[in-house]
Amino acid sequence: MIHFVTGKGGVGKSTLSCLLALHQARLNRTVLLVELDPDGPFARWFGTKKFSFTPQKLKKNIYGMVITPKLALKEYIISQIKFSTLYNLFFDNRFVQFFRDAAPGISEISIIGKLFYLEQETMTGKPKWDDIIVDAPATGHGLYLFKSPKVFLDIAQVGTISVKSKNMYEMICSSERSRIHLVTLAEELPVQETIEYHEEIKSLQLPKGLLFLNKYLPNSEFSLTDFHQSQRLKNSSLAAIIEQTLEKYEKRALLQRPQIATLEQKVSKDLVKVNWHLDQCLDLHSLEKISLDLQHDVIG
Amino acid sequence: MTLLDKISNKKMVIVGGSGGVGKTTLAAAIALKLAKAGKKTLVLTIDPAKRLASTLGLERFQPKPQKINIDTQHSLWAMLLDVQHTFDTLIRTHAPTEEIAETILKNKIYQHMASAMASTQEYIALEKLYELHEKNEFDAIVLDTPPSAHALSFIEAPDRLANFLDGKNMEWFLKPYAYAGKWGFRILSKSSKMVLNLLEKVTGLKLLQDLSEFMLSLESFYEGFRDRTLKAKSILKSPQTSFLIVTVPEFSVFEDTVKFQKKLSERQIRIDAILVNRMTPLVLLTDAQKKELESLKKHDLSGKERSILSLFEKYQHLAEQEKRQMAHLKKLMPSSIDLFPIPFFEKDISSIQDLHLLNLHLFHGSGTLP
Repeated sequence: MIHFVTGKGGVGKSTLSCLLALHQARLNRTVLLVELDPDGPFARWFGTKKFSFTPQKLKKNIYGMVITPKLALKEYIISQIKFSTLYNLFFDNRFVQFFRDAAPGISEISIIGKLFYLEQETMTGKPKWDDIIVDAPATGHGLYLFKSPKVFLDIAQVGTISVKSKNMYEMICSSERSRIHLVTLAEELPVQETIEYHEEIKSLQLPKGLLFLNKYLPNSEFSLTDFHQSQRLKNSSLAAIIEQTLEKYEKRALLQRPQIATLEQKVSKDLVKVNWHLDQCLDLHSLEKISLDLQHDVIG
Repeated sequence: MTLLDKISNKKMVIVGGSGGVGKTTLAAAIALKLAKAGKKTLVLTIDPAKRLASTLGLERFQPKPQKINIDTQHSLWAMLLDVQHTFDTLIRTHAPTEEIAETILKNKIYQHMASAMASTQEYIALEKLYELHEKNEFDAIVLDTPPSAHALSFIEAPDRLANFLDGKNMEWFLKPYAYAGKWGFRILSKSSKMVLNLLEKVTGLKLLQDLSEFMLSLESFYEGFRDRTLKAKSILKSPQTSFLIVTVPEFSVFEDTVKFQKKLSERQIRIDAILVNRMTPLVLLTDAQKKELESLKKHDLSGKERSILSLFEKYQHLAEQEKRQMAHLKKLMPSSIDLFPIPFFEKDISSIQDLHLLNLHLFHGSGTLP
């Protein structure tokens, strides 16, 4: 199964991709975590060397790699012409560069093509990867990625590329093989964009995955009244600043409520909420802890 | 220097930054401020959420300037960037004959270019900014750059597209393809033939023919196009342009901001300010207060009291992290670039009034660390 994790910029796609990987790995599934940005955060989070085009082990059951259009295209061309010396002679340098820029969607289809190849990989008769989790581009550019097989089918019409595009198109449209998970924040703009994107996915007949709500602020176990009733806190010299903080938290949590209602009404009732621990420095330890919150059976 | 001082005598303000940091909203707020300062101002936005239109009191955005109703003395306009439309117009304007224009507009590769190629958006944004600037109908134009994961794509994409439209790269290669049907590859050298055969095997003949037809029809106006691209790009360096970067206090976004600034400076593009959006709006504890907190925690507290203090500490910790990151960012930036912190806005921005409120923060102070 290929899991595409997408959403508006800045909502935490990488975080959720990583949480999903940790969650699936705990279920004893072999996970390949794919990033499309060579400068992505995964290597830092897992404390490993920079990702390369070949999967490397990150921890038990989790492997990681980066897919760049350039390397994916190169691999594809070499597989077609068989001799890498020929590739280096003619295709490296400006020609491939040009071809990549010239044919619309070629970067995107190279990525999908590589994912297709990874999906088909087997080991001892079984698929090598149970889950391929892709930290996909933000909503706008994410759509280019999902649309690219269709675009190529349309442009190429006949020939090798056309056949391959068709295979990829089938893969990306099948809910048995792919899922598009959306990540959002409970803020107005990300929520609006999620609703619009959800509509797009529906109209393109792409398989819908889960809806993750990142940085969710749950109701606190106490209220301002509890603060006012505590003589010790109220009489402290910190009283004013503590009260101000509590107010800010409540206000911010309250601001999330109508947004969550809108999401539940318009996108999915099964919102997977990921609590915000008011922390921005993500490390493996804190990610592992948060991933335990993911109660949902993600494979579903 | 306040942010207004920095931008008030510029003709163009480009608002860049990574995705999801609040560029569109801040671009609208900045445009409102300039309009209130007495300038006829246009905000040019791409793919905006429908909500921004209603914030500005519009039913929907249109690909032409629309007047925003703020008050009778001031003039604010908004316009949607329509990539396909702008691209088509560009082709029509620059094609030597109507026939060539039609060939291109009908070509399958071309038709997918505007909708499927990410870099076209960025190029078109710059192109439109240039066109509007040339028309000189506005005192100031604020450009909200297209959404992308990396701020960098805004400056790199136009180069990629220009490179692509520069015929030299493909001439030797694709030209024969358009004629392949007629004359085969007889005119080619042996090695070129081999390459073409291989390529055909990889892609299919039809695709290559379409591609070369497209390239050939573009050939007739490479020069004009190239010239235009260079001029459009010159906007980035113009002393009349102000380049602002929006960021949020998160490690990975700051990293992107630092890279963006470096790339801009390599290209001699100057940044006027960095707007750090969504700062946690908290007063940090003094050392004395921290001691007080520690002694408070030593008391025999109820469960609820402990929870209250724990939340309080977490929030403080978050604000401290942000402050440290800000200081670090400031250190990595040339001293000429001021950082303007903007607190997290505890309200959805849904009206012009809200934009005014946001501007109280945005244009307050002279860009130092909080």
